Amino acid sequence: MEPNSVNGKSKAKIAPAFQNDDFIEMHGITKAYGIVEALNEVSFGIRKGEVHTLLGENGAGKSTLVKVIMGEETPDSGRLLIDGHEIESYSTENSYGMGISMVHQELAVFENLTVAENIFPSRYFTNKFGAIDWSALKERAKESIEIFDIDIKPFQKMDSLTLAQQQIVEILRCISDNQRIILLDEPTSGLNNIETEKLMAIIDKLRTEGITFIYISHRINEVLEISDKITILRDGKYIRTFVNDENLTEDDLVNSMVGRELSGSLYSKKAFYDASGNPVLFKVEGLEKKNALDPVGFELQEGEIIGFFGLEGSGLNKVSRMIYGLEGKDAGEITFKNEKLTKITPQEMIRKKILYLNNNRKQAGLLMNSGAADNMMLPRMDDLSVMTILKNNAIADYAEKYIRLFSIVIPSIFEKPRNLSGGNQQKLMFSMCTGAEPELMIVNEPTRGIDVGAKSEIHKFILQASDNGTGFIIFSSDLPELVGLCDRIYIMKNKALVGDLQGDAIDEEAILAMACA
Amino acid sequence: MAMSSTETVSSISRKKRFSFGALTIVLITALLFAFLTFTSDTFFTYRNIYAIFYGVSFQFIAVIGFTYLMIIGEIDLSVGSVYAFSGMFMGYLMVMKDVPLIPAIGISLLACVVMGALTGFLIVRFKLNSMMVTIATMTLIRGLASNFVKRMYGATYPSVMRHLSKIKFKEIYLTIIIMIILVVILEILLRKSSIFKRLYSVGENRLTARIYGVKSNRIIILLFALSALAAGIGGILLNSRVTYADTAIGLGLEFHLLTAAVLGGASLYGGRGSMLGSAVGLIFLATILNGMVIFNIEPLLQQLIVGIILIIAVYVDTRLNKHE
Repeated sequence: MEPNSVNGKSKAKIAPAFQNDDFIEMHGITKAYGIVEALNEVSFGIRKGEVHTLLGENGAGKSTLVKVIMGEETPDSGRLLIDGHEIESYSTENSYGMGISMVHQELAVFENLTVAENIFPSRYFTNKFGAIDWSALKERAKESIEIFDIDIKPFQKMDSLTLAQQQIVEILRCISDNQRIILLDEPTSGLNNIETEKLMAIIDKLRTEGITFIYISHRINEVLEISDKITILRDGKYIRTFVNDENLTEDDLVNSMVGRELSGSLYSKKAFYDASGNPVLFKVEGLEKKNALDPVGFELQEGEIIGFFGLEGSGLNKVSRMIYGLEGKDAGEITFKNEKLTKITPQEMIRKKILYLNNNRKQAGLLMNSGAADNMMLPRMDDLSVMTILKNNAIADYAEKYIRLFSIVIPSIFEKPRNLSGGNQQKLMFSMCTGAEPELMIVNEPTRGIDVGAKSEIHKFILQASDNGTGFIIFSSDLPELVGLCDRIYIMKNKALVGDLQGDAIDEEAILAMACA
Repeated sequence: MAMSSTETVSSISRKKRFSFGALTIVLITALLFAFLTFTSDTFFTYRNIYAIFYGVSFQFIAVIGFTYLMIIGEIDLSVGSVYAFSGMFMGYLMVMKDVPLIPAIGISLLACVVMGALTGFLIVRFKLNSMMVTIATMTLIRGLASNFVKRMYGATYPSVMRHLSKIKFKEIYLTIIIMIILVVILEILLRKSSIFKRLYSVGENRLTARIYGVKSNRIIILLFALSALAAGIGGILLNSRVTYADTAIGLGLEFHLLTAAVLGGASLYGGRGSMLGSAVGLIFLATILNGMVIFNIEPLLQQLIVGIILIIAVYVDTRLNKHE
C-alpha cells in the first residue's frame, strides 16, 4: 500500500500538513538513538486552540516527538517554531517559558500538600509581613476550581483526591500559570468513563479559550471524540493528518497506524459461550472485608471468560487482590476445582496454577532492572532448577520459547524490561503468567496503555487460551474490551456487587447504568 | 524505537552482556595493592598481607548477613552491637556462671538469633523502617553488652574461649580459610541458586516478588535472624582475639560493613549486591588503613579518608540507580 493514500473505501478527510497560521511548526525533525531512527524528517503544524492527537503504535516516535517539543531532547536536525519563534536551544525551562507544559502519565503532584498549593506551587500569595496569605491563596484556588464545576475544596489534601481529580488539578496548575500548550500523555488511562467525560468537557472548554492541546492516547473512541485533528506517526515518520469529522472512522486510524488493514475490528465481540451447564472451575462465596468490601460471591464455569467492571472506589481492585491472597479477607470461601482453598497466598495459588497479572506494570509485575529471562523464570524457578541450582540452558530455552510465542521484540533474553516499549513489557508480563501454565488467570487491565497491535495480539491470546481451557477473570476499566472478551460481566458499585450480565444482555450502556446508578 | 511490535522475532541473543559488578572493586583493590607494593617495602610481605586477611576474616562473617539484607533492600545497623554482645555474653556465662564452652556459644548465639528474628518480625508486622528499628536495637543491644563489661570487672576470657580465634589449619588461621571457602560458595550460590535469586527480586520490587510467589515477609525475618547470627559468630571470634570485654569492640562496625558492601556493588536501594564484592570491599578498606599506618598518616586523617570513600561509593550507587 502506498503510504500516503488512504484506502479507497474511506471518506476520511486529510488535512494539509501545514496551514498559514500554525501555532506550532515542525520542519524536518530527525532524531536517532544510535542506529535507531526514532524520528525521521517529521514535518507538520498544529494550530492554536485545537486538540491535536498524536497516534501511532509504540515505537512510532510519539514520545520522542513529545520530548522534543518539551525540550527534553534536542533533535539531530530540523526546526521547531512556537508562535513564529524558532527554538534555538532545547531545554525544559525554555519550553516552559514558551508556555508549554505536560501532564504526565505518572502524575507529578505533591501528595502531602493541599489542592491550592498544588495549583500554585511556585507562586506565593504573601501579605505585607511576607508570610503566606492563605486566604488569598484559597480565593484564587477556589476561582480556579469553580471554572470546572468539580467537587474539590481548595484546602483538601492532595492524597485524598481520586486519580481523576488529581489529574484535573494538574491541568489547573498548567493553565493558572498561563501555559498555552498542554501535552496530555494518556490522561485517561487511570480514569473511568464518567471521569473521562468530565476531563473531555474541561478540554473542550479550554480549547474555546485558545489553549492548544497535544493529546496522546491509545483509546481510539476517545480520540475520535475529542480531537480536531489526528496526526499518524509510524516508524518515526509522519504519515498524514486527518481532519476529525463524521467521515473519519476507527478503521481509517487503525489502518494508517499499522500500515495495513487489520482483519476485523479491534473490539469485535467474541461469540457468546454458554457455560451454564459446565462444572464450576472457581467459586467465591461471601468474600468480605470490613469497610472495604461487602460480601461478594461469584463463580466461573469451565471454558468461560468473566469480567468485572466498576468505577474507582467500587471495590473492584480489592476483589482481585483478595482472591489471589495479596490482601487479607475477613470472611469468605474460595473453591477451585471442587476443592476448598484453605490457604490463600500467592505461592499457594501459583502451585494450584492460578496466576495473577498486575494492573500496572510500572508499579509491579515486572522486575524492570533484571533481565527478561530472570523475570520469566520467577514463577517457575522450582521447575527450572535442580536442588535450587538454576539450569541456565533450560531457562534460556524457556525464555526464548515464550518470547517467540508472544512475538516480543527484544534483542536478547537478558535485556531489561525497562528498555522495552509498553506493549512488549505487557506481553512479557503476560508470558510470565502463561509460562506457569495457568488453569486460571486473574487478569487486571490486560492492555493498559499499549498500542492497538499489541492490544489485539493480547486479546487474541486470551481468546485462544480460553479455547484451550484456561479460565479467565478480567478486571478492566476499558469497557469495550470487557464487552468484546467476556461471556459474563459482573458489575460493582460502592464496595458491593450490584449485578451481572450475560451473553446478549451485555451492553455498554447497561453496564454503565448499573455501575453509576 | 522504530520497530513494530508485530515484527517477527528473528534472532534473540543469549549472550549475557558484560557487567562489572564486583569486578570494579577487585580491580581498584588490585591497583591499591600494586601502588602500596611499589611505594613501600613493608606492605607486600607475607606477614603484613596475612595480618590484613586475618583482621578482615572476623568482619567478613558479619558482612554475610549484612549483604543479604542489603540485597533485599533492608539494613541492619545493630550488627556492631550484636558483635560486641555475643562474645561478651558468652564470656560472661563462662567467667561468672561457669558455663562450659559449647553451651556458652550455643546460648549466646541463640540470644542473637532471637533478637534478630524479633527485629525482623517488628519490621514486617508493623511495616517499620529497618534503619530506624535497628538504630534502636543498636542502642539497646549495646546497653546489654555494656552491662556484661561492667559485671566482668575487666576479667580476661577463659583460655578455651581465647583459643577460638587462634585455631589453625596447616599453619593458617582457620578464620581465614573459612572466609575464603565461604566467599567462593556463597558467591556461586548467589549467582546460581533460585533461593538467592529470589532475594534480588524482593530487593528490586517487593510487590512483584510477592505476586510471583516469593514469600518476602518470611525472607525478611529469616535474614534479620541470619544477620544477627553471622554478627554473633564474628563477634565471638573477635572477642576471643581481644581476650577481654573491651567496650570498643564492634563500635562503628555497621558503617564499616555498609561502606564495604556498597563498594562491593550492593545498593542502598536494594536489588544489588555481591558476597565477593563485600569481602573485597572489606579487604580494600583494611588495606587503605594499613597503607596509612605504613605512611604514618594521622589517625584523624584516616577517618576523614574513610568518610570520603563512603561518600564516593554512595554517590556512585545513587548515580547507577538514577540511570536505572
